[in-house]
Amino acid sequence: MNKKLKLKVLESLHAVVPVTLIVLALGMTIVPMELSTLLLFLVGAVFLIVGMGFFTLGADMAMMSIGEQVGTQLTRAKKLWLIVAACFAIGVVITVAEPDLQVLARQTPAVPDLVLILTVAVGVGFFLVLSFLRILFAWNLSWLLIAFYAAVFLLSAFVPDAFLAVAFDSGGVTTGPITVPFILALGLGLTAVRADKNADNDSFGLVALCSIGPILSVLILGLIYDPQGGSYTPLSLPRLSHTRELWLAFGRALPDYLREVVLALAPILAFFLVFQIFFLRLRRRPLVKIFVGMLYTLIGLTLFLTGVNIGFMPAGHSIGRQLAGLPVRWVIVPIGMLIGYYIVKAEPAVVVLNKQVEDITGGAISQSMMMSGLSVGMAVSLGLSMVRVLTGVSLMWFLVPGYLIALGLSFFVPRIFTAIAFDSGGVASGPMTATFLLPFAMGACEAVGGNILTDAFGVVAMVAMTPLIMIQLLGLVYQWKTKRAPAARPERPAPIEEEIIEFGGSAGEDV
Amino acid sequence: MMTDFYSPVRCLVVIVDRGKGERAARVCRARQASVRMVLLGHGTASAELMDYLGLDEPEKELMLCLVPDGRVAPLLAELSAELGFSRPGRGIAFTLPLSGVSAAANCLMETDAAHAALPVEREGFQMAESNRFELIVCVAEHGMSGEVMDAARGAGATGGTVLRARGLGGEEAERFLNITIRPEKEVVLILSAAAQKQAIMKAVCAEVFSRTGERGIAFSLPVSDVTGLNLTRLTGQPE
Repeated sequence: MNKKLKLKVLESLHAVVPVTLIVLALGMTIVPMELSTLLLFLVGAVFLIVGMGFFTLGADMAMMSIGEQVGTQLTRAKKLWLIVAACFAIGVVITVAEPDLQVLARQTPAVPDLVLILTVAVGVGFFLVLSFLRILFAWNLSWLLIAFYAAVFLLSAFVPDAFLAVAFDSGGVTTGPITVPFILALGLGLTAVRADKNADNDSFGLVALCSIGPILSVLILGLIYDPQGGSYTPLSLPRLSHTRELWLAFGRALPDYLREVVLALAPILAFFLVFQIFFLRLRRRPLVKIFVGMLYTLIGLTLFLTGVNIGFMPAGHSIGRQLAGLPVRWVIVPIGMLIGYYIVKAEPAVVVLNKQVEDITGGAISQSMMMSGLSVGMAVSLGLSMVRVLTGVSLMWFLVPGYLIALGLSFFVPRIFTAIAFDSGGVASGPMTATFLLPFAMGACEAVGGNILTDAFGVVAMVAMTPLIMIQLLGLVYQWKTKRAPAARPERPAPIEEEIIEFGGSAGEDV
Repeated sequence: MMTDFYSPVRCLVVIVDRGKGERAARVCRARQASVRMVLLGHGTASAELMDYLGLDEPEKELMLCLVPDGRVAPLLAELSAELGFSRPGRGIAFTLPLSGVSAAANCLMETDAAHAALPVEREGFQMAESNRFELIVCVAEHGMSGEVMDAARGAGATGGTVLRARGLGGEEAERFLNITIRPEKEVVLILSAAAQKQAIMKAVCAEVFSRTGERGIAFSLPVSDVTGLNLTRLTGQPE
């Protein structure tokens, strides 16, 4: 079998199988699931495995490749106006096309959909420009993050509680599986041609700044429109009576998600074509690979989204509901943590981020190191979210200290870890969170009779926050270890004349 | 002609699939071989269709390590056994003779191994003329590795490894506000039988560099010991 194909298959199995097994184990023991939910879940898991494989392959070949090339070209063009205009356009266009944003717009009925979508898009565009200017003018990421998060928390004091969770969730929602690889690669490309010492550090941090954009925009809208709170569509659990219905459940949804993915990919493809015609002029082989990669991304993401929405959503909801309904409610906290620990592996953009971190750092921060940091972070956030669902404590009690710690840590850890950490916050909260963890929390909330809008929503915000702390803690450990290591070497290098030169051969090139 | 200088220290190069570098490093550490360094690279595509499908160019790790001459043979044998080099596609290891090392590097080697003064054996020259290998290094503009490899394969090369790099030519450096811009490069490493080296280098230069008008550099280095390469396939081929 082809080596790379085998690797991909193993990778996607590794991502999806653990969480599937946990859900199965739960279903057979403490939370009996309806058979139709179980069947949907199992078929969904198969969709996920295939989808994940295609997606990561495609993201590598197309999204990353395009982002990188565009970034490289922009830097080499050396025209500030071009960079600003292009970054703004990229930010706006990819955000408008993001399927999750439409869902968010529907959740906030007080604000007209178009107004919300455009405001968020402009927010992302502005922050993408800002993150590039930061690189050019060597602004410190920590101070920027502090300034903007201060603004976020200041604004949040004036926005009703019910709206708050939606606003914070929007930060994670708009950095989806298409935008993340693209923005990550854009950062990589922008710095790939640089030779100064901060180049590698600066290739991260774009997603970090970009995920503040939506939060700020939605909060500002919250002030203007004085909303009565968000709304959500209650989940309806599908009931299947025969096998054909099982297939139809997926078959009917497939075209919808296909359309969503096409819509999200189209602007990136258009952008690439413009670049290809005017600047890049790639040769045939890389061009063909990008198109094939696009096709893979399309197939992969469509399957993934269908699988996760149709298969995982009902299961998450049913498990959450039943766990919180058990006589010993608190078991939902450790079980939530367990699910969180493994579910981050199945978040498509996470795989992409981890791989890039490994590449940029030359293997110093390995994929497995990143994954364990994110897994622990996810476990903590799920644990805290479940505590919140059970007790109804305000989201702010967790977010404010969390962000304070994260921002404080940024002064102690190596800069690259801060950038990666704030990037991974946006990355960890992708479609898996929105379609499995959110319904899980909603189900739990329904069972305890809490306020779904204030208690269940906010899971995404929590998921986006804990990696900031965990990855930076990882950075602390890393720094501590590398500082200790080279102490054993004595001996200053002796003068250069001490080179050992053995007899220098007869220009031995003529075979 | 043979590269007929004797090198007491050799540079060991191990190329394995991504993720296996740590195992190779462990072997080297156990054998007290010092100054290890890992670079990330990727293999080159072997078939056009697979390349288009994105199922080629497996990711590789390339490890560099300085080894005193006397300890090369056992180290290579152990690496080969540990990483299964006898089976094709598992990775390769080879050494490059060095004409000099800095005092600091030498010092590091000596402190690492208390018995640095091993008896000198000139085993690097035991290989028959037909079994000798050379390492071809091509430096090309970013994105050219596919073309470089196609040409090389046409001349009998079986595979290569690509490393990403940035050019450092003095006059090419550009400044833009706070950043320094350097052109991206790709470095292609190809291990070939000595007999085929000329043909491969010529093919690479002629077919790629002149035809597409891309500038680039190629040079070759003598290789003293090789393990993990499919020897019969390489040396058995007619020129």
